[in-house]
Amino acid sequence: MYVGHAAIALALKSRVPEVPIVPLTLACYGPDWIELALMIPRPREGMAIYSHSLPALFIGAAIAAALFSHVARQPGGYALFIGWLLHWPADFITGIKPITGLQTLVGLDLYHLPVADFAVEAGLVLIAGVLYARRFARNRMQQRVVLALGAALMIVQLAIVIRLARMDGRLWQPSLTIHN
Amino acid sequence: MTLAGLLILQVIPASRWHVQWPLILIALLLPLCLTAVADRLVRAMR
Repeated sequence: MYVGHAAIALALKSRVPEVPIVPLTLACYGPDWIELALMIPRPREGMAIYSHSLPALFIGAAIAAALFSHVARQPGGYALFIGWLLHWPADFITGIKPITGLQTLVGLDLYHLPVADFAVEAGLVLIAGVLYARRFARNRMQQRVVLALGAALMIVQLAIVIRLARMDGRLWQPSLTIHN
Repeated sequence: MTLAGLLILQVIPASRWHVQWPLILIALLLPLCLTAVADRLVRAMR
């Protein structure tokens, strides 16, 4: 998933307005940040176990929430915990992710069904935008900003989906089995 | 890996990881910046 994680951050923000949007969005993309950090300076195979598997997810979420609560000394650490955990079900819809190890990959793999992928992520942006606007955008100018944000996120997603669809040679391979 | 990351991995040759990873980093920063700027603007317009 790509912009869908930002949509989840916006939806969470509408529920816990006291938590700043930056740490919330960082947490929603947390496993992706961990995966990238583990592959610098050299790309390494199998890093998803340490970033996207369920044990790694709970550890990452707990550390993020603890850091926010104790280091930043701000309320709402649980929102970061939830945002980090929600990364897995979101990625389950669009990709194939590990449960505990690389032998147990599951997911609906919508990355390889571009129209469905865009529909899911744009739908998430739409729902989150409505939730956020209902909570924070009281005047017309604020509503325009939220509308522009939703449009920008959808345009970015659409551009990537279209470009990837032209190059993608792999077939749609959803996996709901325990052993891949 | 995000969808944007997958696109970067497909567009840029695998031998050029030193180009791929900064682009993946930018792809992660992009939605963060968009949401942060929008949230800041909405709060500023109260």
